[in-house]
Amino acid sequence: MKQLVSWSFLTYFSPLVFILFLFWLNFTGGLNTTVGLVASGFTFLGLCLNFLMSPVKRFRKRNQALAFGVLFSYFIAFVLMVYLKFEAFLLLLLLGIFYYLFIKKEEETTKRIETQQLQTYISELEANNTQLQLFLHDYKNILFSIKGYVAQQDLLGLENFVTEELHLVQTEHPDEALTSLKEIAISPVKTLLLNKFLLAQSLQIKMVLETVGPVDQKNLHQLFVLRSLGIMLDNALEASYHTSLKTFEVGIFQEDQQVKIIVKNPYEDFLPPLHTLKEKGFTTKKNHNGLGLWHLQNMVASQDNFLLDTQLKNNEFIQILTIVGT
Amino acid sequence: MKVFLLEDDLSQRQFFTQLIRRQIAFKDYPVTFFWATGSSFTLKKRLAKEVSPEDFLLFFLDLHLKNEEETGFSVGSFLKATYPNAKLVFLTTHEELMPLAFQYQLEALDFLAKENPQVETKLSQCLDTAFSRFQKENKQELLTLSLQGKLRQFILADILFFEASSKPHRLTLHLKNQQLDFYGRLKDIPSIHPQLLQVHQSYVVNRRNIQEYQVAEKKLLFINGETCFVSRSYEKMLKAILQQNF
Repeated sequence: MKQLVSWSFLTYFSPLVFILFLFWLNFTGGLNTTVGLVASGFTFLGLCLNFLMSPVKRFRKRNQALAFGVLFSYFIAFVLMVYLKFEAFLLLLLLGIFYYLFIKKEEETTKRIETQQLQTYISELEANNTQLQLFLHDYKNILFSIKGYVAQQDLLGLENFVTEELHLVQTEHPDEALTSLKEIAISPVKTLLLNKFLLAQSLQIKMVLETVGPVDQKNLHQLFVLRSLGIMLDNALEASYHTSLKTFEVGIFQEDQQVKIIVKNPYEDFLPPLHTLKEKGFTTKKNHNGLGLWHLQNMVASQDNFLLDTQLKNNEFIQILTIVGT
Repeated sequence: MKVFLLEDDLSQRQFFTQLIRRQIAFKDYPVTFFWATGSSFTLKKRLAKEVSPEDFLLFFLDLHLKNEEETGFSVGSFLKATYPNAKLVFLTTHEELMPLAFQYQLEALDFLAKENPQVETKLSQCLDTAFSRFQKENKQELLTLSLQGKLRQFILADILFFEASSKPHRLTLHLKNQQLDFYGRLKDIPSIHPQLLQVHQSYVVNRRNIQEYQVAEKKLLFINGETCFVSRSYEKMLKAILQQNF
């Protein structure tokens, strides 16, 4: 239904056209007959149902039923109007023109959003890439120093170097850690998670990713999902970097029509009360603008279908972002 | 407290039955009922017959059910949906970190490793925590809210205030150490409990957690330092109630 006739078109334009037409009928005297009254009644019914529709608060099926009801009542009103006055066929033309203009504009906005999304995604990738390159650079230096020990045949020194200088990243089953990544069918989200995973690994932090069943909800394609997830992961990464556990957990679950993203990280320092954490400019570090949580909060508030649950419990910082499907 | 065990392996079922029986006898808890089974179907049937909604339920569920189509997780989510105050403990084959899905989707109590040599002490701890939770819930007043179609319980003493967001029909619940968004109408909130009081067009507060009222700024200060605004039309009523309380 949503693909057939656009939602917002139905809400904003069709009632306008119908009401204008009713006025016209009124002036030409068509409304005084019974048929005219019934037609206006159906228009009114369609109008009422129209404003009941909302993509977020109701299940998709009920909204579909509503949309069907709206179309149906408009259709009956249209037939009755045509029966009354042949000129009512103009209505169809008018709606068609409006619809064409509307679709064109809609396409433009989606295109703009897509390019924006791509740009954020690419900049995110670039940022991660530079960090990875730094890490690779480090690796080369390490190899050089090992080569130095080998050249001098200094095995004892080499052993010391390996055991004490290099805190080897312990990834016992690197493949196992990433099996849950396969379940995520949304490629931007997947790449973001993979990048953060690699980044975490290079900082010797363990990131545990967990999924139950496939994650393929279409609304995960939104730009805001990517940005929120990015902020949540960055926060968790930074926070767990300063703890001795050096591990954080990420879970993505799909349930009915909603997706839950859970990010949980430990913290060791004393944290002030939750509400001060969310204020603008709060940070635990110097030289940092501390806009992360505030930004996330604002982003969630701006999206109708985003719900955020933030908890401080037993030295753990937990954020659960729920994205409600339309 | 009623305890149920779901384990499809016969020898392990007998082993755990014995363990739980011994612990129950040893602890002297008011456990009125204990029952073990191997199939989730009979468990559900028995539950429908045996259990009333105000019962305290503790379940030990095997994570990997061999002969059945259902997994421990799906049985758990069924149980949590039908009995919101049930406590779940999962039996696993090896010690591992409890996945987030079990912690936050099912609010599971613990994971119990079968091969752990100290399984009995761990089991006794599970019983202890379950029992203390039940006692806490029994003593403290709970507030049940429907969050996107799911019932969730909150301790009333933890609730500070409800805030309406800039988007219609969306509220933020401020608790002592938690903030969460949900869909709802602020108008419906005060009728849930007499302790909840509307003080502003977009705030409903829990009056037991008010620390002070800053008259000049028309602000309420809560016990954790958070503040919210009071509007003129509610001020008189608020003052009267606060004076009654102190």
